[in-house]
Amino acid sequence: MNHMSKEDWHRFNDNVIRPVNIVLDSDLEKLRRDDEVKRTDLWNQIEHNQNIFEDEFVTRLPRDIMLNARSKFAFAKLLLATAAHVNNEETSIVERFNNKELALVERFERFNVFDVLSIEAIVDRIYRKGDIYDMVMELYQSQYSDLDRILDDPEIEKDLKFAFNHRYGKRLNKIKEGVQAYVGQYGPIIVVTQIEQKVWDKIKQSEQERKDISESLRRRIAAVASRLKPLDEVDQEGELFKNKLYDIERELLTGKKPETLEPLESERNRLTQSYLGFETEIADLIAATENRQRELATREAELEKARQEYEQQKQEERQRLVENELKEIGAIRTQLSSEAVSLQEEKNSLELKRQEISDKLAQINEVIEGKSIRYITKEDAELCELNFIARFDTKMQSLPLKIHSPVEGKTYEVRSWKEDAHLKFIDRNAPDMPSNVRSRYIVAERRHGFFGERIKKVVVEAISLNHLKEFEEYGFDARRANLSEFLSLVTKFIDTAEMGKYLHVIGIASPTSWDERVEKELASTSFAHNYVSRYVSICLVDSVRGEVVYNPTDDRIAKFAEFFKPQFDREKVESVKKYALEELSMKDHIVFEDIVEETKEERRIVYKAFYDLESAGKGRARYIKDVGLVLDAGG
Amino acid sequence: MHLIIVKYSSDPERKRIEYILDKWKEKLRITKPEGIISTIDGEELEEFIEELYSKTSRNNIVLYRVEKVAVDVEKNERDISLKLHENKETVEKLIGFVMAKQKAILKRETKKPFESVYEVTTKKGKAEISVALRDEDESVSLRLRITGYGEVVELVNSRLSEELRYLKGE
Repeated sequence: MNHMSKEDWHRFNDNVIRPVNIVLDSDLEKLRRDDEVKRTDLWNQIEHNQNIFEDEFVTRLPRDIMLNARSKFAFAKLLLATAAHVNNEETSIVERFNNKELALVERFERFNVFDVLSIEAIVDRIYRKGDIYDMVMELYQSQYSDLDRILDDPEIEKDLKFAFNHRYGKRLNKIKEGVQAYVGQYGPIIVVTQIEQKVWDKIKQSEQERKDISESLRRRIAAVASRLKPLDEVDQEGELFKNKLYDIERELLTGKKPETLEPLESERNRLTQSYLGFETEIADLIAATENRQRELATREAELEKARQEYEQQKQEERQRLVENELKEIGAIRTQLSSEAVSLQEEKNSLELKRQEISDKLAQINEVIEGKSIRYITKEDAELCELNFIARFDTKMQSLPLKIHSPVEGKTYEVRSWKEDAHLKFIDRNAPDMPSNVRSRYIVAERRHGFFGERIKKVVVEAISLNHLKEFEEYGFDARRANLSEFLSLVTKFIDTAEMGKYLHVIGIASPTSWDERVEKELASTSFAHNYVSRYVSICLVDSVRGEVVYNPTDDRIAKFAEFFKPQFDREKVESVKKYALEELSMKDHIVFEDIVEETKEERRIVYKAFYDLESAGKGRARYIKDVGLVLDAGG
Repeated sequence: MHLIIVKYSSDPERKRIEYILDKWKEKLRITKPEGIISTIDGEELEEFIEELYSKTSRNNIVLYRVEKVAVDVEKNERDISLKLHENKETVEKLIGFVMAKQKAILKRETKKPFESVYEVTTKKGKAEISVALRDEDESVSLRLRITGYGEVVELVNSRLSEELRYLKGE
C-alpha cells in the first residue's frame, strides 16, 4: 500500500475535498439561494472527486481521516439535496436521500441562528416568546433534542452520522445550555399553544407594564441622581458653615459677641433652601415609587385571583405561567420598596443636616439674646457621666428584675445577666473627660426555649451624650444638646429594633441639658408618630440636675424612668441651695468654684443646686472668662 | 389482470407516478386494491390460508395468481458525435459545464475507456446521458448517447445539440 506523499496530501486537501468544503462552509439558506446550475456543478464535482477519493485515497489515508472525509462527502451531498428539496426542484439528487435525512438537515440548518446568539440572548429570547421560543419548543416537542437517538435510526445513512454530529452537536448543546439557563432563571418552559389567549394577553400586558414601570423608574432615578450631583458641594458648604458656627460659639463663651448674625443667617437660609430643594426632589421620587407600587399591587391582585382560579381548576400550566409573572412582579416590588427605603433614608439624612445648621445658629442667637447657658467643664461632665451610668448599672444589677415587653405583652424575669447580655461602648477614651458611654442590657430568649439562637426581646440602654469636640477643644461645654443630634442618634436604633422586633428602651443623658425643641419634639404626638415606633421608647436625662423628660403618653418608658434618673442627696443639695441663696442676697452674683470651696460639697451637688436655683428663677447662670460659672442674682 | 408495483423515493416522484396511474385509469381500468397486499413466492398455501380464514372473515381475502411479466418497451436512444480540436482536459471541463447547465447529475464514471454517465430529469421524464471521450491526434472525439423512455430523449437531444453547436464553433 502506498503511503500518502506530500503531493498526495496537497491533492487531497486542495483538490479532492475542496468542493465538499465549499458546500459545508455554506449553510442551507445560502445554498438554496444559489443557482441550481451552480449547485448541480458542485454536486457533479463532488461525485467525481468522491470517485477519485474511493479509488485512490481510501486505502492510503489514515483511517480516521478517511472516515471523516467519507462522512463529509455524504453530508455535503445531503446538504445539496436538501437545498434542492426545499426549493422543490426536479432533480434526481433528492432521490439519493430519504425524507428523514432531508428533514433532519432542513430542521437543524434553521437552528443556525443559535450559533450567533449568546446564552443570555437565548434565555432572553425564549423569555420573550418569539421566534427563538418557537424553535426551542419545536426542537423539544419533536424530540430532536436527542441527537444520539436520532442518529441511531437505521434509516439514516451511516456515513452521514459523523458529519451530522460534527455540524450540529455543538449547536444543539448550546441550545440545551440556553434552555437550562432559562429554566434555572424562570422555571419550566411552558407550551404557549396550551394556554388560552386570554391568560396569555393578561400576562403579556402585565409583562409590558412591569417593563414600563422599571424603565420609567430607572429614568427617573437617573434624572434625580444627576440633579442630586451638586449635593456634595452643598454638603461641603454645610460643613464649612458648621465650623464657622463652632468658632462663634467659642468666642461667645469667652464673652466675645459677633456684631451681627445677618451674613450667617443668609448663608443658613441659602443652605436650607438647597437642602429643601433636594428633599423635595427625593420626596417626589418616593411618591412616584409609591404610585408604581400601587399599580403593581393592582396587577398582582388580578393575577393572584386568576392564579387561585387555575389552582382550583387544576390547570397547572396556566397556574405556573401566572405564578411566574407573579414572581416577576414580586421581585420588582421588592426592588421598588428597597429603593423607597433608601430614598427615605437619604431624605432623612438631608433633613438632619438642614436641621443641624438651623439648630446651631438658633442656639447661638439665643445666647446672644441673653439666654442662660449650661456651662460645665470636661472633668465635671465626666463625673456626671459616671454617676449616670453607675446609677443605671446599679439599678439593672439589682436582681431579680422584672422587665415587661409590651411588644409581646410578656414580662421577663431576669435572675442574672449573662456575659454577653451586658455590653458597654465608648466613643472616645481620653483622660478627664466624658467618653459617651453606652451601657446596654439585652433580655433575650432562646428560639426553642433551651436551645437555638438567642432572640432579643427587650434592650435597655443608657446613653451618655456629650459634645466631645467642644470638651476636647475648650475644656468645657455650654451648648444644650439639640434636635439634630438627638435624631441622628435615635434613628439608628429605631431601624434595628424594628427589624429585630424587640423593644428598645433608651435613656439619653446630656450634661448641658436639652434644647427645648428636643423636649417639645419628644412630647409631641408627631414625634411619637414619626420617630417612636412601638419598638422604641426614649427618655431624655439632664445629668446635672437629674431631671428625666419623656413623652407622657408613652407609659412604657415611665416604668424605666427611675433607672435613668441620677440620684442626689436631697439634704445636701438643699443645704447648698440655702447657703447659695444667702450669698446671693448679699452679692449680685456667686461664683461656682467659690461655693464648692466654701461648702466643701461635691461639685455635682453644687451644680445641681446652681441649676435648680436658676430653674426656680432665683438666678441666672453665666460664664465669665477666667472666672468660670457664675450665678447672677435675680431672674 | 396485472399487478404493478412502483417504488418511489420522494414525494414529488410519488406524485408523478400517481399522475400517470390516474391518466391511464379509465383506459386500462386501473384500481388500487384495499387492504394488506403481499406477494407470496411459496406454493403450499393451504395452511396459511386456513389460518388467515380463522382470524378474519373469508370475504376479506382475495387470492390471485400472478407471474412476473417483462413488458418489452424499447428504450429510445439518440447519439451526438463531435470532434473537438481541444485537449482532453478542456473538453472534460466543458462537458462538466454543459451537463450542469442541463442540471444533469453525474451518476457514475469509468476511466478506461473514459465514460461518464449523467442523469437528467425533465418534465418529460428522466434520461441518461453517457459521455465518452477519446484522445485522437490533436483533437478529442466526443460521443454522447442519450437513452430513456418516451419523449424525454428527443427533448434532451435537442437541448444538448443546441449547447454543443457552440463548442463546434458553428
